[in-house]
Amino acid sequence: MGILAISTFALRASSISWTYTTVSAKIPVATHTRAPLPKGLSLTHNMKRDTSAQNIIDETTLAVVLTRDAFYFGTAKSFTDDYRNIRDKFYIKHMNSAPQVDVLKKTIITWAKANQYNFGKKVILVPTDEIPMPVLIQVMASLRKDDQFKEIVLGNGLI
Amino acid sequence: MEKNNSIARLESLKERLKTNITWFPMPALISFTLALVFVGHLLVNLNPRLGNPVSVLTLETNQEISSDGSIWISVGIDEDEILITTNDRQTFRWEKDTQDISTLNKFSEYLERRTNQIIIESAISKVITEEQLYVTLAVDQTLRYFHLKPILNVLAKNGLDYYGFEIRDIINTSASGEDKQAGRL
Repeated sequence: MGILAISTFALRASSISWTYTTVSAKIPVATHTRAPLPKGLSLTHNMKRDTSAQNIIDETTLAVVLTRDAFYFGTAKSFTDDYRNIRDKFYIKHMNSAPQVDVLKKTIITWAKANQYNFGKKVILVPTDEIPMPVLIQVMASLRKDDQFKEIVLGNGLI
Repeated sequence: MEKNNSIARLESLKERLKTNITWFPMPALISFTLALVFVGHLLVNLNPRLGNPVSVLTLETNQEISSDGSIWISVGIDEDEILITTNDRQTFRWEKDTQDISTLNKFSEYLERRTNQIIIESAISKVITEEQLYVTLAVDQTLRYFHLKPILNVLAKNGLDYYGFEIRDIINTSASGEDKQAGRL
């Protein structure tokens, strides 16, 4: 009984893997003009958040839609105001149902150079509802390997 | 007479000392077992992953191992309900197909309490870091994005804008690590 208790204790303690990490994403924060709190505590100031143009979301922010069949990418405007325009959005088909993230990144860079598009380090990633979470997490991790796609904002509601 | 009594007492003492006492190790065994059980409970409280049925994705990312945020949440499916457990052992449930965040009110109130608590502790200690309001989501591999949308909306509603999906990292010790192809749909 005692040996059983000790071995159970030891096995449970030794089976916990300590190498956990995270694939991060962000929710966009709307800027505000309120004065700092009366005692001077301001999360924005204390955490030194950058509110320069590169860190805001507007119609020129890169948007990538992940569906079951393909990636679609373009600016945020092309999926909102210019939704019906077929010339300002592009797609990369999945190969054997596997998303081609490397091809997507290279194509986006080529498109950006051709259109003189300035990357803001933010990308809006909009998966459709049926995308399994493991696939989504792998796509996010693969995108984040490049500096140009460091900050990912997960979106919903566009499709 | 007195001599006979002394001899009788000595004899009975000798007999008593010769008899084995079978209950002798029991107090030590009971104390030892109780100590093991209490320490086992303490270990459970130190790591919220212990005993958690959620199976997170295993992925090689070649990035620095990041520390957990203050708020760790596991998201899994139990029969037809989404089951949430937190690192302070709170649990929440709702129907897995719901998209209405009003059904997540209790979870939202919990997040609001935790956020307020963290902010107050930061103000008192005069130290604030991004990790303090970082939410780690340990998502089971059987879930789809559809199931996560209400949770992300609740995070946004409570002002938690920095979150991440937990993965089990593979430490690559080979000379060159190639990118792995993303999983199939």
